[in-house]
Amino acid sequence: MAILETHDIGKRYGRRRWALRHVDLAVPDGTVTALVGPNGSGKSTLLKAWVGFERPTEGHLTVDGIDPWKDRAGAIVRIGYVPQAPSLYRELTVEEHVQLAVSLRPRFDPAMARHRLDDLDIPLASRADELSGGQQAQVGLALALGARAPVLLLDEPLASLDPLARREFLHVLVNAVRAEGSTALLSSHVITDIEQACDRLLVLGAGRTLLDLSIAGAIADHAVVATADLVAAPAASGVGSVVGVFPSPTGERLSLVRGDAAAVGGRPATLEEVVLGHLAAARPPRTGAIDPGRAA
Amino acid sequence: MNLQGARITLRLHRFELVAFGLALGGLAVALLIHAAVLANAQPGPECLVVTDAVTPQCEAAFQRFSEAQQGILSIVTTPFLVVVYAIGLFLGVPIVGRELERGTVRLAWSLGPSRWRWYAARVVPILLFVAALTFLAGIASDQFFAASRPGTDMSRSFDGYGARGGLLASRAVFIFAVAVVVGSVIGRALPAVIIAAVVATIGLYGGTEVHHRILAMEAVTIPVDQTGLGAQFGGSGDMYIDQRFVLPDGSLVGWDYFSSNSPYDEFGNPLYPEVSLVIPGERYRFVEGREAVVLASGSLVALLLAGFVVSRRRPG
Repeated sequence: MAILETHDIGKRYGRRRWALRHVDLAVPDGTVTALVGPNGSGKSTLLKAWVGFERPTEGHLTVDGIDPWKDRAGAIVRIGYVPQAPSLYRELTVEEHVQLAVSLRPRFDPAMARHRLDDLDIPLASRADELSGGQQAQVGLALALGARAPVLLLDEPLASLDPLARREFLHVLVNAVRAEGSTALLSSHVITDIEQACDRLLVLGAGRTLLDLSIAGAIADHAVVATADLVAAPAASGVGSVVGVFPSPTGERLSLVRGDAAAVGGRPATLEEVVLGHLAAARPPRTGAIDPGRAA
Repeated sequence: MNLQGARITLRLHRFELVAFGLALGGLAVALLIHAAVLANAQPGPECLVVTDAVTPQCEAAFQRFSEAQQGILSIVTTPFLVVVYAIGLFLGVPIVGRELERGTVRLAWSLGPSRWRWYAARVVPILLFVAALTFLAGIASDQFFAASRPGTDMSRSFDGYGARGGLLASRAVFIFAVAVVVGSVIGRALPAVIIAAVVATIGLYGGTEVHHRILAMEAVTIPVDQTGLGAQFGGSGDMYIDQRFVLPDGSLVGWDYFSSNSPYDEFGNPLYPEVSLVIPGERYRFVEGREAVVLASGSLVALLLAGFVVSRRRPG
């Protein structure tokens, strides 16, 4: 059953710029889903629309069946949200953030939040502006988890973290989500980390959905086809250059070869290659870059 | 709104609250101290009786009183009024504006199902602080004006109108409400402070003009020699509105009636009896209360408007 859904959603900024267009998504209950896409692909807009921070220009979306623009309070109580930039009050201590959450959220669980912060050795008496970026992200996550909401939305929480902090953050997230049986949707650029933490993958590009399937399925169903450029390096016919991920996201036949190249082999794709392949395919072709008529 | 939310709000604005509390509190205490000094320096009742000749003792007493009055008047009263008006501005704008600017609303609005509740928790404690502090400052100012106007019943006098009593607090609260709504619309603290200052000034100035026109319709005429002409307020505590001439048919005309010639004869005597339009000092409480109610209503509307903006706007 899908707990997060969009139905032909579109969001336009100004008169012409569409951040999202005709997006249909369904995030299954109980999954940890990665939302991936380049800058400006509409990831943050989509998450904000679910929290009720952005109003869709067309279509509608739901959180556990509730439209955030018709019943924002009903949607908010079902969501724990970690914003993109650290949004902590720099004047307040960590403990005061917990108290703030208690004062704002009727069923906030302060003991759970404190327990998680304690596990991470984040001092409750420290002011927010004394914490490192990783600690601030962990405080944001602890507050979102303390909300005990069935859905967690995390807007690029890993962006400013070092590899160790990213790993720790994802470890806490996945353990908490599994323990609570909740659903998490995590937008990120860091695909290698996602592979370990998430079980589903959503790729947004050019304002629409490019890929929506399980991580295991994404890896199993895609291969990297390598080619040798026979014109440029005839002697090195056994050394290929990666030219695309297949099956082609656009359903095209093999047509990405430069010059007189020929496909000579393949291997299973990594998640990063799957994502990059789909994003590359979604880009409008550059004039003269590919000549389908000369494909092998 | 609960006590925990109010406590956090006070914590978030601790710097401004302490700074303005100390500044206005200090100035109010200075006014009270000076009021006590003035009360001691007041000429005795025998000097306040209107006679043809002033005794040397009374003249010396008046001199001492005047010196005591002038010593602090310019040092304290101007900063006092500036701080009273600035307090609303600098405490009102950050409530929503600074949170939007820093992005902290994204955390708060995603945690709390009701933005109105968040808004109330932010606004009410600061509103109460501003109202209480400026009201106390108004009382201190009342004492100061009473001490500097010997023999005047300040409850029946327009002396220091708007700069004392409950009206001072009403004006400060109005500026505060304007600042809150501008901050919530603009979403950036510094531009919002500037714009709020302009909007509040226009609002107060426009309101004062409208009020003055209403008062002009309610004014009574008194002979000009009972007015203390030349001062804004009559020595009797009346509020001076304007000067009029009484034509032979009994109608009142102003200076503009005499477009080509002067209303005075060649010896400088008025051709027609001159009268002053005044609001009698006895009406002080009513006039003050009426303006305070209008300002409070305007403040309420502005605060509700800010709440509506908060409930609808994007967090940025």
